[in-house]
Amino acid sequence: MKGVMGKILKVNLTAREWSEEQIDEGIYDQFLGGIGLATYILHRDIQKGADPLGPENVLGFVPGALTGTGSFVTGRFLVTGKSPLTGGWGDSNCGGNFSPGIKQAGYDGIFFYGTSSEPVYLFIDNKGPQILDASEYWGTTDAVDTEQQLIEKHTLRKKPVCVTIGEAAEKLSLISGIVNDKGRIAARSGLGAVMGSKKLKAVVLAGSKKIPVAKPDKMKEISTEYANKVRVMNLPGFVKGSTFPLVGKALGLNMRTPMNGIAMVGIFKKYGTIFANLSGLNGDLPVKNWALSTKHFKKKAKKTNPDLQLKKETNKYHCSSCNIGCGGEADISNIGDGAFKTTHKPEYETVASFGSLLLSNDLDGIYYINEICNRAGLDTISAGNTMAYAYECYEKGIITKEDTGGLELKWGQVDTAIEVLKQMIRREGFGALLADGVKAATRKIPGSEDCAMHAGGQEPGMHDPRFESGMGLHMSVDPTPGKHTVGAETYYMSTAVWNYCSWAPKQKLESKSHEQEATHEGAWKNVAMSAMKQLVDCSGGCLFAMLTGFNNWRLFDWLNAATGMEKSGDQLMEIGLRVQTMRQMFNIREGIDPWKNKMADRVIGRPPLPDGPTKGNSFDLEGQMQLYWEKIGWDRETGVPTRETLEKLNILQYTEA
Amino acid sequence: MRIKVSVAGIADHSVLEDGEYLVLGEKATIRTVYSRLKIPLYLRPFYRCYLNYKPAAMRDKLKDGDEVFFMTLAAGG
Ligand code: SF4
Repeated sequence: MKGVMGKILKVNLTAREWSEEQIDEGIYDQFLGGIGLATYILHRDIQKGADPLGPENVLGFVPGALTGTGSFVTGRFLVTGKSPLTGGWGDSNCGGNFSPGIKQAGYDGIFFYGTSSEPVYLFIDNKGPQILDASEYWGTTDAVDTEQQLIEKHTLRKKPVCVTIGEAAEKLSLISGIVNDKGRIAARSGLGAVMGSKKLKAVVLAGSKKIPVAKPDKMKEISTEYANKVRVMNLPGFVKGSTFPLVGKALGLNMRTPMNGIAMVGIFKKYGTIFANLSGLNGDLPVKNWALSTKHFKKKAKKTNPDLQLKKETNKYHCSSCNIGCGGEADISNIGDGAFKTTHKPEYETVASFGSLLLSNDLDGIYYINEICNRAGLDTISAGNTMAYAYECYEKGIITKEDTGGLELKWGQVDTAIEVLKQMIRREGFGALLADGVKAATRKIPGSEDCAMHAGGQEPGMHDPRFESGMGLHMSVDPTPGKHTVGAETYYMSTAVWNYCSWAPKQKLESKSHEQEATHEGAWKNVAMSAMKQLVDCSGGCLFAMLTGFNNWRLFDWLNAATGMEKSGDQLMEIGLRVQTMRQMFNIREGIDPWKNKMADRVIGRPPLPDGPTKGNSFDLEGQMQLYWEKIGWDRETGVPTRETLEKLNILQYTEA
Repeated sequence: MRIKVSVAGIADHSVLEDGEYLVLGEKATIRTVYSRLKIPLYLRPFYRCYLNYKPAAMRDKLKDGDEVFFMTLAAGG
């Protein structure tokens, strides 16, 4: 198969040796690449019951089947392994420029086994891999500076790409991630701690191997069409951040309709995800540890107007192969103690996690926190949720000044949050109690369970299921629970997936409230949502490109043109179903009860909010989970994939423990 | 003529065939689409209209098979 390199690199850190493994065509045919390939390798090579922070865990970095092939917005990679945060399947998706570097090094994945006794990093150029000493960086140099220094050190003709870990991961924080491109971060699932446990400080790639493509002319044709569409999608100058919440209801956003997703591009180009800082006031934005409605943040939100963020932006930022470019960089040399010069524009997720969730609108403080987290390699979503948990515990008297070392945790105060955050990263003082996220904290702070918002151990992304129930469903049924990037109705309606997949229901005009019921059609949509997202993650695609619609971002056509396969939409979607089921089987093998991944009651409206735009909203999560399981071919009562499904997807042989 | 339309929920979707096609007479323009979809005048500033993936003006003439969609300035959620 073209589009892929045909082999993976396996690095044994205990023995400090490496080997290559050729991957059979049949495996690519079934799993494509990216996350699909990782599910095959990790099922095979991680033993049941492995300690996520022990040598038996396997940490994988995988680009997608489309990465580096000339398609657009397909330059993302996934980090995979057994998650120390959830105890089950862990993956985390990240952009930047690292992904094509894996293929240019000659591989469809780099997998790390064992544990090094001393800090090391992996370097690969066209001469091959080398495992090199990293002791000068370990414990001394943060993720961003390590990246810069290693890139300088290894730049010859080509500037290498690099992933690193910071102090949080070195200290094995279960909410730490892996950093690249000066602060992009594969944040979720706690996989930074896995890298830290292996004493692997960085991976530096400087290869320049060619990536084979089956039909370059066809690739070019599809890419040109997409480029032309993206180019003309720009927001009119008069559109301001404050426009978003004003017109939501008036424009009928309480209804679902099939939308041409390309229309989103203008918003992404201008604002990136921060447009949601204010559009979230429609009910999507979580407030005060998910306890209040957006009504209570409306006035404060003005100071998080995305236009204020644009004023700080010094330049736009594009991930590899992306022609949308939703990112940005900002000058923060005047903020706080002036410790940092620049930071990536904080995403909506970060602005909400350390903003509304703490009842704060201190945008400068959020920029400062963003850079602290990026350099330490801490997941801002998990860290923000954990901070909000601590603030609530303090408010309720579950913890006092005695526990906090004299710190007063008052809602709205970001300065205190910065101090606690630094302690969390260093695992010192009060912060040590919070360093591993909310679930671990509840074991150390008795009586605090009701303040801890998580699904299966992972803290939720900043999109409120009381506003959009599908978000709550996917945060609960996905094998990496708590993630906001795996599914939602807002995503589905713009994908036009029904034009490619015979069983994916066409989006009709319907009321949003209809989604709160458990329906067969809704369940099919949710299953299609999971399948397409896994397919995107097999390809190296970006969620935001998926939202521009497969009729524009022609993933299905690109896949066939790049690889030379001639698969129908249904066949490609079956790969997505296979991967989703492999991920679920990993959890089952590790003894995870799928019901235990259910999102915390408060987050799904139990009890419902008494006021605001989502007043009274709750939904039948259990019923929706059961219907999802039934449609995808997992047992309706237990969430365990049935034998019939494993046989149908031809994965029984990989999943038998 | 029959054109393909994608528009947010505030529009009158009852005029669409199969939820996405609008049948119009000859000489129809983008203005005709706005009025057939009953998009209120006061809301029109919040829409930007595209014809075959290019920004469209009210007077632009339509032909069979055209695709019209609207960027809604409150998209997302
Ligand atoms: S849309 Fe944004 S996140 Fe996605 S690939 Fe482009 S720059 Fe990266």
